[in-house]
Amino acid sequence: MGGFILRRLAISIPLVIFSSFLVFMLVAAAGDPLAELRGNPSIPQSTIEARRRQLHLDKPVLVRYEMWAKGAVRGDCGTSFVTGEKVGPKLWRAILVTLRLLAGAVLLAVLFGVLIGVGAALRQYSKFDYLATFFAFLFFSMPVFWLAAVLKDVGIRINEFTGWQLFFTVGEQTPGLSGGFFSIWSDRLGHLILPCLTLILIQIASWSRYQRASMLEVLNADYVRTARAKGLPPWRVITRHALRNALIPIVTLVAIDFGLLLSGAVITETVFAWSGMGRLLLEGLKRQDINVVQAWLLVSATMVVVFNLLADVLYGYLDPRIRRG
Amino acid sequence: MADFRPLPPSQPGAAEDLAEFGVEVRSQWRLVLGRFLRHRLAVGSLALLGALVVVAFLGPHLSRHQFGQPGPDLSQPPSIHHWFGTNELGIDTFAQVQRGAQRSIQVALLVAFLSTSFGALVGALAGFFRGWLDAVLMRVTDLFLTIPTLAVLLVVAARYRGSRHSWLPIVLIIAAFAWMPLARLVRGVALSLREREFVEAARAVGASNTRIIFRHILPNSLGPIIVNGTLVVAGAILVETALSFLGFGIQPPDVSLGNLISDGVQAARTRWWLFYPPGLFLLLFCLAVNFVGDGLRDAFDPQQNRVRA
Repeated sequence: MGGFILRRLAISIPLVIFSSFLVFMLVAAAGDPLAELRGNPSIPQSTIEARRRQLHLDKPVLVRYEMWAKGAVRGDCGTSFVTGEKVGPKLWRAILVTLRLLAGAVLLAVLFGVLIGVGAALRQYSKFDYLATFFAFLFFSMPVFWLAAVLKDVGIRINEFTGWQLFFTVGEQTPGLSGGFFSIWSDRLGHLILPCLTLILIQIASWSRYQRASMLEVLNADYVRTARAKGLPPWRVITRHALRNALIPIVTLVAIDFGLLLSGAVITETVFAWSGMGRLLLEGLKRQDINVVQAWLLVSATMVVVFNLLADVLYGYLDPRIRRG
Repeated sequence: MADFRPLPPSQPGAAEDLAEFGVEVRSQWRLVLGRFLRHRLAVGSLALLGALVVVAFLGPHLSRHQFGQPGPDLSQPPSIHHWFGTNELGIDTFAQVQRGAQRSIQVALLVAFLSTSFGALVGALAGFFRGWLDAVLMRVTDLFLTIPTLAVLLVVAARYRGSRHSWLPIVLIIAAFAWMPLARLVRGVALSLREREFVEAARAVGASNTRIIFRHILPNSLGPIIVNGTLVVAGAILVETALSFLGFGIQPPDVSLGNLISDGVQAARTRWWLFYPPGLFLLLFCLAVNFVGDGLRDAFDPQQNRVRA
């Protein structure tokens, strides 16, 4: 197992380095952080030049990459071009907000995805199976931003209809709310419901289909037939023999998707005005705040690689055939 | 979400080949067509898809209103004159949706064409030549897969904000991040095809590598290529509309379904006709494309996941 993890690491680390390089080049080529200054005729050329030197934009791009990478390795991602704040703590705050959204959503989506997938596989071609298939295709085809906006609209209508503030549709908590631990967290939970629901519906669509496919495959395996033939109770065959093995692909899929979701929740966060990773990226882009954008991309790319690595290791741990292969 | 990974099939083994014992000689394409036509949901979806495309592209002939043309009726709910109502400038929503759909469909089809050609070529080269070329191409593919697609698309698209002819760069950058799954798929197929007798036979009669790749390997991997291409259409239209929704895609005065929804989102409660029609159009289009893709998958490969009930 140790050798297997080392082999995987040997692939992952160069991947992070190359991908950080690619990301840096993309950002460097894609925008001009001085565009706003240049667009303003009252700012003299000398000021722009000074700013250019201050941001090291006068140096060749490879030198800039070296400087940036050296800082990033030490955990220093530089300062925001716009506000002058340190990028690291800013990014960290945003990640925590996004994680609050993802943790609950992913947990519930896995639970329901697995239950629906297994149910559909056990009763293949039943009404439940067709219904699950239809809804999976429906939400798989659903534009996330539209679904989020529809849920927001429905939430507001329900609030108006009942006269109670049941759903919060803006932000991740009520600004300036003071009170005890309980009132703060119940307020946060109220803000969580709709954005979580958006992510859950979309993720269930995909995960339940994979769970169904892997469960069907296992149910037809020889060892399940053997278990049935030797007279084990059907429920025991399903839970102990079939489900245990059918969960393996889902575990790795969820790990990979979690890495992607950290950056993939941008749209949901935007619609519900959360100040998580999504807002940080979009504002960084709109103001050409290069350091923020680069640190953001580095963190998300690293997350994708880390969670892919985690998925590989989990797969190797759960399925011995993989780590020997 | 920026997701070009297909769902697992909806009806594994549903399209069984009933004509197995027929004596009539049928080409592979006739068989595929026959199997596809038995998948009723897919045929229905194809019809719906055709209808949506016709509605989008026959725009100017279907209604008297032009897109982007303000009229005297401001913020009207749907009526006989304005089927989907009008916005605060008196612009007809139906005409806007048609125009937006045209743009979105154009972008999606072009992305699917470009990324499919590129992905298939990369996969075929890697699988056919193996060795160092395979290693390099697949490492590059892995590299592209680690990059958070939506974020990078936003970064690159930010450069083209404000330029009026923004839709072609959008196509290119979406295609640049959509080819990887197909490259892996085709590589797998090519790895197995290159060992088959017909490839050996072609080589024995002196066919060049180029000829073998383009006349033998690629045509024989057409099934997965076409199925994947269909799914990329659905994925690409979702990504393009998401970019436009966030303000980084198609730029005004041009419209896409994405920025129509973005404009309508503020009005969802008071003027629902600005918000729901473009979203429903988008949803129906993607749903139909995905069902057609599912039907095609069953039609091309009836063996996969065949399950004894």
